[in-house]
Amino acid sequence: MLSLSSERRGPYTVVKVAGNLDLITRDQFDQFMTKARRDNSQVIIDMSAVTFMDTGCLAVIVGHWKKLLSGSGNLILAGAQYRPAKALWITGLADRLPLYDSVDEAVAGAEASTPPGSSPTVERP
Amino acid sequence: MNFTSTDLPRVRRLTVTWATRAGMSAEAADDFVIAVNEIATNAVRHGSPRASLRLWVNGGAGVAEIRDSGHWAAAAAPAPLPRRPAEQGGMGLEVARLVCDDLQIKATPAGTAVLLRMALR
Repeated sequence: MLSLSSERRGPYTVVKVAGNLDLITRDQFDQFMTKARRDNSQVIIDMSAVTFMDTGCLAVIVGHWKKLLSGSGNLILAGAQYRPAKALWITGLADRLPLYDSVDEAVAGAEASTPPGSSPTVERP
Repeated sequence: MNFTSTDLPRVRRLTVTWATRAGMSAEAADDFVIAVNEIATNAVRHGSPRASLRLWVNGGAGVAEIRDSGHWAAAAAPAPLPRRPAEQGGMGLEVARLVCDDLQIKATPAGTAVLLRMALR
């Protein structure tokens, strides 16, 4: 249903999310993100294999993003696909959260110290 | 169908299959599934552990009714997006309202029913 893993990518922890982000998997996702955030203040979520995301899990992401920002860390979303992650666009949060097309671009872009929220490279089709 | 939280993936699959067969465009069907999933999530999370979904066609629109025996909607109703996103049912309800052509809440002592309408092409 939901597969979570993390790996180190330079200064970043990349959390790879595969499957459904919904009420069933929300707590599992939240706990995994809490652990990732405690290990490292620079976190990238690889969303390229997300098959569905509801607003509850979007709220989880926003919560971790705010906590990381307040501790001078950052949370970046990479590879979010429009159809399965449409909640991002419907809510307008796609314009506020740092979004990159891929993990590679997120790592490169974040290294160029892009201000949070000013890099909406994922275009709405 | 009757459902609990563990049935939510099945609720989404059933809804997209039904919506496509009923004649919704792919985009409308996607939006309809998002709305149904948000309301169904509110129903089992804040309403009652068991809820029900009915789908039918009426007046050129697909209609979904999600019914539970709780009372979440009254508390969640006036919650515009940016202000109270994390409060109970708030963001999901607003998203459902945004993507559907119509959303009606019927809160009675017996529970909460939400009707979603999405035009067929």
